[in-house]
Amino acid sequence: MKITQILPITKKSWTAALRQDFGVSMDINEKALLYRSQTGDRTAAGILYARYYREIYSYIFYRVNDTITAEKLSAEVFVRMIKQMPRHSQNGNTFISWLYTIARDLVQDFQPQDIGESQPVSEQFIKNDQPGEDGSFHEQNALAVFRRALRHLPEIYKEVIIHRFVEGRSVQDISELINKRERSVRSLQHRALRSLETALEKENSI
Amino acid sequence: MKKLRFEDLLDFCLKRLDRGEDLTVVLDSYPTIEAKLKPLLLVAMLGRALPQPAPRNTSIRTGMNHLLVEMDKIQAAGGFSTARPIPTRDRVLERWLESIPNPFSSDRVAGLKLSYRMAIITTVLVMGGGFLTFSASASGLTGNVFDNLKRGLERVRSVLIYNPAPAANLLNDEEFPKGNPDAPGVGLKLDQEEPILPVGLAGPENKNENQGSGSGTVVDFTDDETIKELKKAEIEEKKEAKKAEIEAKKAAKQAEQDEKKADKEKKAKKDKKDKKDKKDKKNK
Repeated sequence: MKITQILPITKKSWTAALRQDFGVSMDINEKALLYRSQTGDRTAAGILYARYYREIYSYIFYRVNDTITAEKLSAEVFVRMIKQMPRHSQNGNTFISWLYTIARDLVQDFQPQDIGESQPVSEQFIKNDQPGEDGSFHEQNALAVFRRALRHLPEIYKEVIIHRFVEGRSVQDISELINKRERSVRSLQHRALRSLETALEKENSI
Repeated sequence: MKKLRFEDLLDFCLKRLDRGEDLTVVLDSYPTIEAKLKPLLLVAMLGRALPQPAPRNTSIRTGMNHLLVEMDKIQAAGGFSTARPIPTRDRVLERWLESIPNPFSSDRVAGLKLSYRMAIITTVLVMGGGFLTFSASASGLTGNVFDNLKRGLERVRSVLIYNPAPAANLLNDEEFPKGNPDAPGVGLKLDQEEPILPVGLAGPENKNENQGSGSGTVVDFTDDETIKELKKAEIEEKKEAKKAEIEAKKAAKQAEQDEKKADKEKKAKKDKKDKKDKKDKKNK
């Protein structure tokens, strides 16, 4: 009996799912996909989109706190990516960190127009299997307060909180994404949590 | 000593929570800073409870369409380079690595990154090369290129071996290498039960006996007394040799002088005879 028959290979099933979508093998590494996208390969660009869309959407959603805006901005991130692709060089940074840089710039450019217009988050776009969705009223209320409190934080604190606690990334990953040392990221995490605690108290008092 | 910062401790606590430890257990570990730590950890846990937003399928497809339309625009404007932008060096190296037959049959290992494959190949080459070098040095004679390597290797082995007998054998081999047949004690093993004979006693008779029987080992004693005696004997031999030389020189000189005298006497006799003959002829 083959090893593949005994061990559950999640990568293979994931690959098969994407092969169904795009008709190609997903065992291609990121570097090769980037090279192919730079030559105008639609399939390679599609695979990159499918691979990173959800992460970028999640990040933007918690930054702008609005589903429609998050969808628009996420699509715009990939349009900007493909515009910059022909002259893109990695320079030691990962592809995902480059995407997050584009998303960050987009969000920062967008926010001044959107202040006071942000729509309430429609919960139908949030997965049902996540904790809090089927929870008590108090729990849902606490999460709503949390999202509101997040808006009052400085940009860098928001970013650390989203990467660390919402996306569940490690300090090392965050240091690569925001281009700071791990020691600095830990300090930022501490200050961000303190600020968030204060913001939560204010929101609760309101 | 490096002081642990509060933010490092906080991060450590968060990692513990990530591993599934209970909040109370984590807080009990640091009772002195519990009051400061607890609100921050509670906020962090609230953040973890936030749901992952799921985008609508229509928005995903719309985004993909935007992307493809934009690609078509760039393509029409000639924005994408037709030549493959992979540097030649990378392409050649990657192709070469891809062409290496994969010794692993399973699909999971077949997907190894090129860097890992490269690391495996380098390790195998280095270890194989090292093994071959050590093997070649095993038969190296003194003065050979590999001799130092072999000696170093034996020293390491002697350190690593706990059993004293093989270690002593190794040291003995190192002191008297097997390759040099003139070295004393070559092939000597401590475990041998053959009689050990001193150099002084190993005369021609003993040597013959040893050779005949095929057993017995000649060992050079290196006691102080033996060395002194040997030195004395050498000095005496030298003195005798010098005396003999001087006597031989003297004898040679004497012989030369005798010969010269004999020649002179012969000449004198001849002269006398010649004179007599001349006188006799004149008289006649």
